[in-house]
Amino acid sequence: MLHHTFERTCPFRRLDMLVGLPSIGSRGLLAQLLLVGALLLLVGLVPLRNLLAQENDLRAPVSQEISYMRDIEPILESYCFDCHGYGESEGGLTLDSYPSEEARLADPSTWLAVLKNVRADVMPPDGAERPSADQERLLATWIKTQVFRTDPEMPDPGHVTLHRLNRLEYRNTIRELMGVDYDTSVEFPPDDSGDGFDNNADALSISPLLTEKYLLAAADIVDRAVPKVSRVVSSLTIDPTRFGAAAKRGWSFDEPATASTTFQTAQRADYRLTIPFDIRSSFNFNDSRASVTFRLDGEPFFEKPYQWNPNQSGLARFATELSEGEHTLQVVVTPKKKASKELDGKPIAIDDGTFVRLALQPILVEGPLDRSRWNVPSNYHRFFPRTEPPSDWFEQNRYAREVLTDFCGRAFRRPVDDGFLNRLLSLAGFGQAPRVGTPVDANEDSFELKIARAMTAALASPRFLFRIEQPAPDSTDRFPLVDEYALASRLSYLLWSSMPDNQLFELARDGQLRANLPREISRMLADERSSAFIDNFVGQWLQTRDVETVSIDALAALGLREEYDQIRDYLRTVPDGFSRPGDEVEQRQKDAYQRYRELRRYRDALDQRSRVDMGRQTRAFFAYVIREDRSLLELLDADYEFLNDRLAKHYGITPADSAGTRLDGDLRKVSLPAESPYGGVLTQGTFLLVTSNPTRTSPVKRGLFILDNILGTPAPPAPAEVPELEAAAETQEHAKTTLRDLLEIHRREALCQSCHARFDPLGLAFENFTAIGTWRNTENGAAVDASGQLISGEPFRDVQELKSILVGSRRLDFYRCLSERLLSYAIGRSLSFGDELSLDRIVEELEANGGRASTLIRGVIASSAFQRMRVASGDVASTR
Amino acid sequence: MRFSECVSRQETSPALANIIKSGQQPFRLGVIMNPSSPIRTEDPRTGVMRRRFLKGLGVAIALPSLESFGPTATASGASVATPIRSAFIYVPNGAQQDRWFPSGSGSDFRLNTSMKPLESMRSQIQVISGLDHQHAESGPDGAGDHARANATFLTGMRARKTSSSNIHVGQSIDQVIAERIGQQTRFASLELTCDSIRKSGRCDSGYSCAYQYNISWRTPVTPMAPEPNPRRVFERLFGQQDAVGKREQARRRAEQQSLLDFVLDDARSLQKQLGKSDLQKVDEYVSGIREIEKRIERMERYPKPKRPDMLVPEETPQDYAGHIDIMFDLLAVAFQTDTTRVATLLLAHDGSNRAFPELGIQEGHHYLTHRQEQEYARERVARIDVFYMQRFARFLQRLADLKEPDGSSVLQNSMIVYGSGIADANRHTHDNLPVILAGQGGGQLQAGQFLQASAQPMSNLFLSLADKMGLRDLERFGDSTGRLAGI
Repeated sequence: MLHHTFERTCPFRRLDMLVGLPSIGSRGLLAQLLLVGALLLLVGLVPLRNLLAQENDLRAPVSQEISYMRDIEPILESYCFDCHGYGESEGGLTLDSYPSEEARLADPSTWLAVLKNVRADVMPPDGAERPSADQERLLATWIKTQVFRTDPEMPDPGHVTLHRLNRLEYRNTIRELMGVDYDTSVEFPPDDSGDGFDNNADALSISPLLTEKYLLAAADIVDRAVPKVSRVVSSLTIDPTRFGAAAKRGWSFDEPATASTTFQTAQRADYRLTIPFDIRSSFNFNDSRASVTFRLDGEPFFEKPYQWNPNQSGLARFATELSEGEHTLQVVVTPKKKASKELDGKPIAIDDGTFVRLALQPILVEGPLDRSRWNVPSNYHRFFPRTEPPSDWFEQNRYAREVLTDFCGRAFRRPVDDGFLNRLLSLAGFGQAPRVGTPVDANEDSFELKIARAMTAALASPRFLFRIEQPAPDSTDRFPLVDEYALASRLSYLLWSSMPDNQLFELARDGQLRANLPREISRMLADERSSAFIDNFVGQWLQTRDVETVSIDALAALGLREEYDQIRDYLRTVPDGFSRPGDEVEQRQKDAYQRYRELRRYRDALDQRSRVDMGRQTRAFFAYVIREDRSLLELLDADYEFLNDRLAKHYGITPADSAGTRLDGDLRKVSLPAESPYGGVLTQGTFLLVTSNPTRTSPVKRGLFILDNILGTPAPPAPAEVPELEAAAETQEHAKTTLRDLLEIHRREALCQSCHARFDPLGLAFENFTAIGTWRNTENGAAVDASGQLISGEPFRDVQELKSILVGSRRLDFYRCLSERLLSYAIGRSLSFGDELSLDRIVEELEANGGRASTLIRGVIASSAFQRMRVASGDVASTR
Repeated sequence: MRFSECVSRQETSPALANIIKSGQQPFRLGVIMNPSSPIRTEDPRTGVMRRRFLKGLGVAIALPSLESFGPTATASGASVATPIRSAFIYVPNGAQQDRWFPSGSGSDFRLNTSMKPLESMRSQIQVISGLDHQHAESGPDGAGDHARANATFLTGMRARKTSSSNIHVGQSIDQVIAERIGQQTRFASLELTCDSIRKSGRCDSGYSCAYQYNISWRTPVTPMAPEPNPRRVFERLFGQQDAVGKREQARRRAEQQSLLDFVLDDARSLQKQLGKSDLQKVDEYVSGIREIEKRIERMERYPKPKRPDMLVPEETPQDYAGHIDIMFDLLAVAFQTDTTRVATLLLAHDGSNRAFPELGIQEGHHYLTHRQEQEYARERVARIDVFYMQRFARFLQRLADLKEPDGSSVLQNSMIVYGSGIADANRHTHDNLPVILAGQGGGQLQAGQFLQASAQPMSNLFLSLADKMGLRDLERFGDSTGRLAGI
């Protein structure tokens, strides 16, 4: 399906085929462990706390002394030049023809490929002589320090393009700042994503359409959020259901009815009641008549007769002085005597479906009515610290400045400069008073309205829409630390997808945020807002977001679609009521109906609710690992799951939680039986669904997904003019062999083998799981064989054993992959060469402490890329 | 309430009509734009007043006697020649070629099975073969044919292969045209999409998602984000008209202008502090503000068209055919009222794996295109082609029914390109692309033919269309080698 030129003789003709091959092989692991060991010996294990406080402990003591001619070229001569030198250029790669030292060093992409392939033990190829661990380390150090010019003391943090808030961040920020929920998923067009994340700054552009939406949104949000007056009358609303269950339907005019409820008043004052009601009448005439009475504390204040009228509403209003305390409101329906039809002295109830009823609408109680006792509007103190603006002109302007300084500081996530503030004040209609004591012109717009105008402008300002960062004023490093305000935003948009809260702002203002970073990270992760991080990171890393919309046909996935369609078509042709009892035809129909009912249950096995549950399951699992600081390896292999009753049934897991409680609709942590294949994200519905085709599983998609998102070693694109493997396999579908057999045939082809051997076994290991995530033992009648062998040689019999390998010999690949994805998400850009050292450090730390989740998050936050910034303007990070 | 009742309500209830017609200026300070304002309607059976939201009502569009609000937009107010409009429709995953291209040639041609829905429109369309997009070929860039198909479709340029930084392709033809003639209408151009849900994770083979979900590019680096929500499109185009006096309007206008000035000033002062790539981002915002200023100016210059007598559409419909139809309807009304003369509509991004259970097709579109050796798959892909063609035919019929003040139809004065940036979605070829050109371009096009052009860039067609839109001095576009003869 994907084309590029390809030659049969050597599977590694092209450089891009080399990049990112998986590091598999027991020898590879040994080499990596040796490498890690060597580094640990060199630098000593740096405790995490120190890493966070001061991050430059990793030294590369030999870097200054490495000479290409003396140290590196001999290694390349011995292990590489046979294919990539001396006139050979396998895969289009030549390593010995750089015209100068400068040219050699100016080609980081090539050397990154070399680094990755050597690290992953893909090169030199299987069977060829390999460099020693020391030589590998030397080569890696040379590439990182001299080609990438990474200063191990201070890795290049790369350049993060000015970051526009994406629509999720915008929505969360507005909720936090303004206290209103503005549904950007409807109001704004979707954001483009880059490198798998929709917070990638380079991909977040602004079209004229979006500009327009931003301006409209600013006005709309301020209008909804900011009170325009300083006083409103207090009110409470009484829902009609408080009068009892009958209120919902309404009180019939045929029977006397009395219902009451109570409400409280806080003080003795004048109050006003407003009671809107409907007289609900049937379409056809009904002769009932009744009088409707409202009483307050026993005293009637409204009484009026009503009768049938299909379109009538009424309004009872009453103002009075009420004492402090409880009051009773009563509604009474009194039927008027009508010309009743009687039989033997008893009234005949004629149920002709006609009716007249009284139905109440929500009742409003306002008060105290005295203006001096009005209250400040809700949300008022979010923006205005005082209960009332000063009446003096001069004071009012000073107060406006105070209000807007505070607001803009939060909206822009850093202190606002005077120039901006002055322009904003003048836009809003504030100015300098001629002299102290001048009263405010009563005809002017209200103080609050002017402030609202300024806030609209602030929300339309690029300072709000973009995250503007500055270096710390006292940092004189080549790559200075970002200032504490920028750090606060980087943290809050990483962990909350929202703006910093007051505590972060205060710490930043006092210059205390960096010093308290570990504590703040813990606090932020424990905060409910961190679910945004779970949703957005997992939603994109594992594509959990897609589980609700990916097209999957449950019947086809279970191999029942044909049968279902046939039975449905048959039943459509069956005429009703033609067969006699005991008839052969009738039996057939009965059977068909019976089977049809069964199949319908399968058809609905993947309804919207179970899809939503699956997404919640993956998020709950990830959240548990993060919040409880579990080992990240549990994401891949765990003896527990997060299930509710529906999911447990779907997966066929005995539905009881760890404490033995029966499951209900809520997700709970459940211990799995020892032999259960479930446990971990790879056997959850989300992964199994989003890697399937609409009607069947796709081992190729599943394998590629794991290479890409779990092992971090994406496979090269397929060569040109070769039929897609699964497509070709399916042409022989009528032979009813399994997908595995057909893939096997193709894997024997040398052309396909080089890549497919890498991901087919990974995908086929999950063939016991259908496209809807349920377990199956057979496919097309043949037993599913999930066994396989990784390209590195580790054999496995089933998915459990594969998981053990992933968290065993392959765990460094997983650590690195997850670190790469999280770092990219955290800084909102694609990774660059300078990030290699930061990643090395995080992986080492993870390996040293068993992969604890906090190590990953803290390591990413401690990295140079997250802590520092480039200051030279104009340069753009060379992404890899 | 059943659907038919809704429609009859629309005809009989002046209250509803008033609410639809009332409203406010689309952009101003301190306005609540509350599109889902509850309205009260009466239930005929119970006589009870109920709160209803417009939301559920907009499924159908009752297009009215449209002559009443024909093109009104002339700067001088004098009557001018009927304007020419152009639209570019992207259909995903190419076509099942053997069932798509007609047989015969010139005006003597027979429509193939996939094009049957266009039978009644035969005299209004031309099918064109022989057009290529060489920059969508893999060339040095390897995999990613679907992303390139979208990116190259209207630009004729090669997309830089990048997953995020330094996105670059080329200005698209609709924007070239809009830049030149856009000042003659209230909206310079209109960008629509029916792709409302995005797949998460990475897009096609190392290309940024920006290439796949945008076909219109204002500059080589800034895509024109398309709008998926029909309700928002309607409100944007036709706004909510205000019954306020001249003084109040002037006051709001002044307030609006001072806001725009303020934001522009602010952006400029910010730009002084920023590096080059950051500058570009703020620049995009500045351009957007300028565009709005220009539009306000145009809106003041040209009388506002009467609000079309259609129900306000609901939010993005679940039903795909319904979504496409309403977007087409909006496009038709935008042309008919001369609100814009240039538009693009992305029906779905290339590589779309949408299943069509409503057609009895459970498999994904993309998946099926790669099962070409199996008859069931070829048949299903062709059925999907027919599905898209039916939607397109309905759109053309609508344009044909809409009358201009001079009695001609909007379709006669339009040039609608319908096609894909990929030809054979199985082999990922980009030569002999499936292309239909509908309309007569105000008599400039020879509709009613199967034009078998010699192999040449698709850009040649665009250059010719630009000509007919009045850009006669345009020398080159994309990879054009000349103008396409014979259309």
